[in-house]
Amino acid sequence: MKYAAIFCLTPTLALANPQVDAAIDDHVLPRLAHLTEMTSDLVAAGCDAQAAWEDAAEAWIAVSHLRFGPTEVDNRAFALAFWPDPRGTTPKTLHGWLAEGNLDVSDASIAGRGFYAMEFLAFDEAFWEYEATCDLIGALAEDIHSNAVAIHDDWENRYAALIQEAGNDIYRDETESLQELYKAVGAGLEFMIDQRLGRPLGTFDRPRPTRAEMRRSVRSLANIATSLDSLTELAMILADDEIDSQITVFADRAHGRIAQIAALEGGADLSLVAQPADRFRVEALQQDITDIRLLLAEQLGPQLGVIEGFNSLDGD
Amino acid sequence: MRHLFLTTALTLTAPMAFAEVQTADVLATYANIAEAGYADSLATAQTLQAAVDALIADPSETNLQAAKDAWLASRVPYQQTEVYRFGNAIVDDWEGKVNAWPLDEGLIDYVDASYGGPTDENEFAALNVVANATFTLSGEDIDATDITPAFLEGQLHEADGVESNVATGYHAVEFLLWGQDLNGHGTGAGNRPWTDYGAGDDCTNGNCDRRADYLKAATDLLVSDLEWMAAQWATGGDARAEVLADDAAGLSAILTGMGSLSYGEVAGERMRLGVMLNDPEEEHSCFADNTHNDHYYDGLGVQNVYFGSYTRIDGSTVTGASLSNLVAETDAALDAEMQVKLAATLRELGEIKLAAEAGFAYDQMLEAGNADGEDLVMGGVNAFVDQTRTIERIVAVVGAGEITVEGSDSLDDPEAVFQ
Repeated sequence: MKYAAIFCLTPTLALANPQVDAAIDDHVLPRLAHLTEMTSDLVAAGCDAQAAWEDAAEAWIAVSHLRFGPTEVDNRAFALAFWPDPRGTTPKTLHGWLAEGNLDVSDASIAGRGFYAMEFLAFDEAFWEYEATCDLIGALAEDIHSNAVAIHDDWENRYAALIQEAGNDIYRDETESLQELYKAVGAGLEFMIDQRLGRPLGTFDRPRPTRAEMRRSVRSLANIATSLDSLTELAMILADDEIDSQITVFADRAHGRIAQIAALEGGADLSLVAQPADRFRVEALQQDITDIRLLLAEQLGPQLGVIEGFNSLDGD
Repeated sequence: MRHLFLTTALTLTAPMAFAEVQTADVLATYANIAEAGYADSLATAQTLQAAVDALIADPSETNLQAAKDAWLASRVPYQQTEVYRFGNAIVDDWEGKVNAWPLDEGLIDYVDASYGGPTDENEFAALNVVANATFTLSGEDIDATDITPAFLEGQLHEADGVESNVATGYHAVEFLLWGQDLNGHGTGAGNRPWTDYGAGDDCTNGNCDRRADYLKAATDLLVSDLEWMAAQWATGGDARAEVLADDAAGLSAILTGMGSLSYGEVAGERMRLGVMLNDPEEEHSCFADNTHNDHYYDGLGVQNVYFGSYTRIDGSTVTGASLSNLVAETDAALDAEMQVKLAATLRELGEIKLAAEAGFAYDQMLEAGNADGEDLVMGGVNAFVDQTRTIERIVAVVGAGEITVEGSDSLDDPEAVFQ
């Protein structure tokens, strides 16, 4: 009896799972390929980087939930995205490097590298008085591009096969592959709720508009929309039609709220969190995203037969 | 949120019945270890309190060193209790009072000019309450003439809603004993002179009375906070009752604590970030240079709850039915895998500890371009991350009800297991 059960439970080695295949082929790889194209344009843009930076940052936000495997090797994703930065380390580091003319960034502190550091250089006038600013923008763009390419190549040449053909030490069976992807959606939603929305919201008595993500480039709200699209895309690849239709309803509601906020003054950079009359809209958006998170926990997780695992956001 | 979701996953299953190992016994061991761990933390904090009183009554190099030694000893049991944080709301809600980190220490006392002043994030990063008996906080006039435990926890801690305004707990006391570590990436900890607590003309850096008042208030508060937590785990305590109330929720608390501490907190927040920012202030105990021990005893704490065994500060042990026994009964290979990974983690953390104790300071390991240091720290990070994968597998086994193979419906409907 026991042997029979175990036999049934053991997945056939290297049998592809259609959801995992679709997640990699239609979500992970194309979105990472897009990131490398955008970072290549960023390198080509030179010092006049604002427009290219915006496109590349958007492409990053759309893959920022894929924090496993290739993004974690050599700490590549950390070097692309150091945020939040509660101690203001990024501007401090950049001022230091600019004052001493340091352009050798590839092994330097992550506080001065990646999309968030480059945003300061490209959008904040306080960094334009240095001679080295233009060269540092170039060096950061090169560093960003090489990390993006490394992540993409590693996925294509190594990791896609590992997760698609489960039965290895990282993914023992297809359930573990599904769990990894499911966890990525959950972690992405949590990051939106707690960080991208939660940080600027602060409390009613003490809102924190200056803590909004990428407020200097006024991308704070746009990032929510980008992330929501990408996360629901992945969730719907994993889910069946019935859950898909519920996700669509919830996501449409959130997008409607984003459109309302975008039309208001201080909406795009979320600085309206400090306006008592409009703040509730951002709180409502946060609740919309929380509803999606709960829907997935209650329905998608059980449908996939996976449990909530752990992610890097679990600390305090 | 994490705990909620894990609990949801576990409570989806039918009640578990085990042939030999009873879940209730495993949970009792878990609670007993917590009770002993917090009691040991309290006892060592009381020793610290006595040493602080002696330092204030009779300031001297010897008495400052004695207080530092007592602080270091107090960290040994406390760090082993950190594995109780994330799974137990009672602990998690309280933890910020005793072990908050990182801190903008300029809130408390004088700092070097290189520290800078107020920041975008924290207007009060350089408040220096030791030197200022009155000040304005969020528009309110504050009278800090008397530095009391109530003032520290009620008004100064997390002032202005900023988390790095840490006014209480181990790391505030650490700063008051050691002072800033101004050695950068070099060896050596903070070097506060004992005369910072000196009387009359002996007093250095001003306001020695107020500094002593602060140290006394913070230490007393630490003791009373630990008293409270020890009581939560004693017979009749709320934390114990909560863990024992429900088998699935209790197992979820154990596993949530093990996984969240391993991955998100220690591997991520405390270890990886420090090495990637190359910032010596990202050390968990940056004033005392005790970070290698912080990590090591966190790792040991995870082992303790898995093996159901804790060695107390007097050498006696608290043991009983363990999660390891429970897992082994169902899936011996998975238990073996967990044991191997826990051992690997402790070995990696041990290597960091021994290198630090032999003179290769944790600050040095964090320096940009120090490949050996990075390898040491990342060895610990990778081991923590790797053991978390196995913890997840255990959650899956417990959560999917696979532990009860006999009589399950998996024979009739293999797909059911994946639902």
